[in-house]
Amino acid sequence: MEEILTQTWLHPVSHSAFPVLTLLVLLPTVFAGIGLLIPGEHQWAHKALGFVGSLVVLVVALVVFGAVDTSIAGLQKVDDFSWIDAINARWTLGIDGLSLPYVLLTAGLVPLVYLGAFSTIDQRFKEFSMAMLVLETGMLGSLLATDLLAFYVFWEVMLVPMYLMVGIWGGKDRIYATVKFFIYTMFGSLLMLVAILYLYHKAGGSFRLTDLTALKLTDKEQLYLFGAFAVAFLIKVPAFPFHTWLPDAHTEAPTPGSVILAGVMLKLGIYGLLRFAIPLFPGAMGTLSWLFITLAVIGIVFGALMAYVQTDVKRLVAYSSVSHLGFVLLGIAVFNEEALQGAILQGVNHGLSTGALFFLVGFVYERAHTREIEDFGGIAKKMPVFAAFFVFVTLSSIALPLTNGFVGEFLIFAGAFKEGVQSAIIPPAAGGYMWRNVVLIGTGIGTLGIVLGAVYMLSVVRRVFFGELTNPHMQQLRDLSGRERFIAAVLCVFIVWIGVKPSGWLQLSEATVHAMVAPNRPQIQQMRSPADYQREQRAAMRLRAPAVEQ
Amino acid sequence: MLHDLALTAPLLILLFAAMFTLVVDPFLKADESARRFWGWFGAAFAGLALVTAALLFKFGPFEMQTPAFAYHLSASRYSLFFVALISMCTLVTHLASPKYMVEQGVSYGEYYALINFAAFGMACMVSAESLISLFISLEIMSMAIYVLVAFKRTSLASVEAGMKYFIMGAVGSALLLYGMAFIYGLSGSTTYVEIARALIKPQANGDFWLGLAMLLTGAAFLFKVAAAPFHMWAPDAYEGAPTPITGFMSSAVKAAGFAALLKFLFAAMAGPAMGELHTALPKIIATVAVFSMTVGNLLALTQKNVKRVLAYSSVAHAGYLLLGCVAWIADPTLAGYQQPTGAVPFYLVGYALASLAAFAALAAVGKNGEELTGEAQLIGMGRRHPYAGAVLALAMISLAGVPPTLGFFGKLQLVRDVLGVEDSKYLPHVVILVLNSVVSAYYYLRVTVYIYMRPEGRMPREYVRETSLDWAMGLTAAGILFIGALPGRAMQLGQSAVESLRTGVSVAHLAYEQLPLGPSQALQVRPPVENPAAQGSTEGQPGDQAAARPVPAREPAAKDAPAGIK
Repeated sequence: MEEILTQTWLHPVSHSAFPVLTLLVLLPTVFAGIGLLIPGEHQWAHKALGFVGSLVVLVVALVVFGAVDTSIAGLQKVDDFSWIDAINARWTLGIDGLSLPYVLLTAGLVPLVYLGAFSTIDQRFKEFSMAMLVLETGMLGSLLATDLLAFYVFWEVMLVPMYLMVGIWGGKDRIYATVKFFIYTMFGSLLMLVAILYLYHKAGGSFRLTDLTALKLTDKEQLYLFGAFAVAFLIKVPAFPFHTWLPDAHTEAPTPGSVILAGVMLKLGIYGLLRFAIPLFPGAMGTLSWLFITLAVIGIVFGALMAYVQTDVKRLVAYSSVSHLGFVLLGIAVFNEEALQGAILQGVNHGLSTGALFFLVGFVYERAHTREIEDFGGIAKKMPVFAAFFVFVTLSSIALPLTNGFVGEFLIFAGAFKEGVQSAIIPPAAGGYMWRNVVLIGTGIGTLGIVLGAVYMLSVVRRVFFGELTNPHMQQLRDLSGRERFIAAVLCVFIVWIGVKPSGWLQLSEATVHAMVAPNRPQIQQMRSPADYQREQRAAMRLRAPAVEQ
Repeated sequence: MLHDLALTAPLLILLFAAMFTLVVDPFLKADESARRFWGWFGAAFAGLALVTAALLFKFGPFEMQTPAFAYHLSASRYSLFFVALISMCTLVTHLASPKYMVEQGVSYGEYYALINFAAFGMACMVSAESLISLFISLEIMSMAIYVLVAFKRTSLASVEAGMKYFIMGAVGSALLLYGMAFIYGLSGSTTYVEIARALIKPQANGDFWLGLAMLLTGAAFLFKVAAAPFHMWAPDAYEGAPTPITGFMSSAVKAAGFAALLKFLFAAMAGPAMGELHTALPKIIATVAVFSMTVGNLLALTQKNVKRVLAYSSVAHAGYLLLGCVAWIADPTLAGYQQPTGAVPFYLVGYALASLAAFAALAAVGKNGEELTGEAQLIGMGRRHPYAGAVLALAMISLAGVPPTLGFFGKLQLVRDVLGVEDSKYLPHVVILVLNSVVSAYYYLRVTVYIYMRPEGRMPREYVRETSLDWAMGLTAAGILFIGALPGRAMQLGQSAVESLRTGVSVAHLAYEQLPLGPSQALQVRPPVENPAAQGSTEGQPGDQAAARPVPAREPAAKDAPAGIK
């Protein structure tokens, strides 16, 4: 295809009279600034400030949610101010169906994290609270910024608070884990920065996403630049083989850090691919689709197998993240409407269910001071409510129907099989069925991953909760407190809600996904399998032809 | 004369502060409060110099290079930008000093005078318009710094550092002088404008002699900014020097060195006369830059003392800055990149603030003649000294170039400008720079690990807060954060500084071309093209010119030079 299709879904459709998105992004930092002025001895003040502050942010996010029209694509409520004139960087924030679910997830999780942290973080709560609020600014900013420099700044702003959070409040090997996390992430994002600046010069000095997507790049340029972006995002996701920082960081992080890491930060890799990497370089995404599918499938299977052999519950949950995000990556690589809808929703689902799992593991760790599976056994007798919640979230994690995980994974696999089967029913042109084979085989193996997920999750449930209560230390375990039950219950409500009635949730991103597929899919399809592309074109012609005659 | 004095007002303020301190100090009682007074006094005058430079920058008629003292010094936005930066560094150094010097038992008034002398030397250096004034001001700065490095005379390490720095510095100065001699031989002049004009004509073996001159002067400059492979003195000098002076060296001396180097390259050596050398020069500098950053970062990884870590990190930053210089001089036509590149001045601001903050924080924890700068000695700093610990951690994060600190925006603009040269010709160098940043993140992070993440450790708790030191840390930290949040204004200032050097040089050349007289007479035009009619009138008063300056000696020298070299 010669002309570059315009990425209309990235253009602003409505501006906001009041800069509500700027408010949303900066509000947590404002609360952090207030916290800075209160001496650290007043722990209760910091707890109250952090919790109330994050609730206020949630309210603003809900107001934004109410004001966004999800039936149209394009960026809404856009704030566009000049920021650094000297290099033509702008402060551009906008929200659409792609960022909305994640904004709500972020704003919703942070108050819960505060509730959980009241008991987990017993020292230096002031510093913790400030790190968490700055982190929230970074996360919301990354989700809303559409100027690439602003996005990059927010993306990196997340780094330091998380580094401190793991490094100060983490477990035994926290320093190794946090430095590894920092260096990995920084490596990826600095390469992305070089790519951003390369594009900036190509565009004659602009960081605006719509200017950059309009550029004409050679295939080779696309491939290298996409590589730089993709490495940054795949490290964050994390996809095999860039995942090695994740088990360490997750395991060593304090519960609030793990929840935020799993719940939101990993999703930003997904978000970055969809918002930036693919619209900027659809052709390169097409060329590398087979690689994405391969990595996704390896991630699914490898993550599941690694999870199965872990002895530490938290590490197990961390590896399960690698596996689950493999599904999401598969959906992105397939890139049709069903798969993308599933991928976006599965991102939210993973945030809810893995977030809940990390909360629950944290609750039991606070009581038992161990996470080794061997140390437990039969604790359902002592902690029935905890066991019920854990089993429930496990079912969501292994994608049982009527839980959220089922909806997301079903959509991804439906989209993937559709892709493979569609390619198959159209008569072959020169070049054969390469893409179809990749999709079908990959999806087939990926489906196996769901079974593996059930294997490791159910086995951990059996070993931890059922059987004889042999360990004498476990005799004194108290069941969940009211606060802890509240946290788990809120997450479970959403798990069921999305599982039983997903239509409202899917509707959030429907229009945006539709508009996202329109310009990008043809280019991706053309590059990932020219033969398939021609075939698709011919089929489309054939379908259209009778209509024209009439 | 009054005109000259007005233009050099910030310099004179610094000089006055130095002299006043030196003269009055003997009459004061030699106690702690007197030293505190000199700290505040020096800071106040540095602040005054800063404000004066800023006012001149904003309101002065500096669309072009405005010469003073018969083309030996000049005031332009470029020089004033750096004078202001140097004054800022001086201010912070003064504030950071009193407590440290008292704790180390070497509190004397001369110390504050020497800081001001060094600042005066640097301010002259960035304003220099001729080889003579460049060399003299460089020596004023260096002599003061040698003494300051060795000022902890009770400490063997400090004296050794001063000695090493002095001997190596003397070699550097000798190289510079030797190189200058060749340049004089080729051009027959010591002022930048005349050198640039004289070098237009190709001369026999000109490339070779110019290359030799560039090699010698370049080595001397690299020595002064501590770029590899001329960085050997840096770790010892940085470690041995009193901590506030280490901060002063890595901020102000580096800024002055780069400012003078760029002015020298741009005003004197970047003419079209450089021929092949001119196309080679950016490549050579880029290679040295990459070498310097790699060597600095790799060696910093192995260090155990934070002062040494920061010394090697300053070698690495010299490499980054040299790569920034490439963006600047890569274009021989002076037309340059379509957007002016203010990366080097802006980066220097960020680097200066971060290293001043880091060394001020390190100065805060030294006690009873002992410095706590070993990495393991910092364990528990975050708890025992929350303020100093936070400032040090912030400085590390800024040096590592993580947003939203100033260090990130410096690196961003630098990479942007280097990538903008000729269709991303320097992309490989930029990638190496970025990988180096990742390596450097490791050792910067290691410092924060010791501050915050090790179990509560050995750092002693007794801690007397000193107001001036708190101000030093607060000002620099606020600078890192606030300029980091809104870097636009500072970037523009840096750009207008560079712009001013560009236009200043081309205007000077233009003014020169319009004159029918020989090169020497051009010196008497003042200001050069402010009033084009005035140029005609200078022609009519040859007597005045002859009286003002003994010029005839120059002409024969210019003719003899090539022959003399052969």
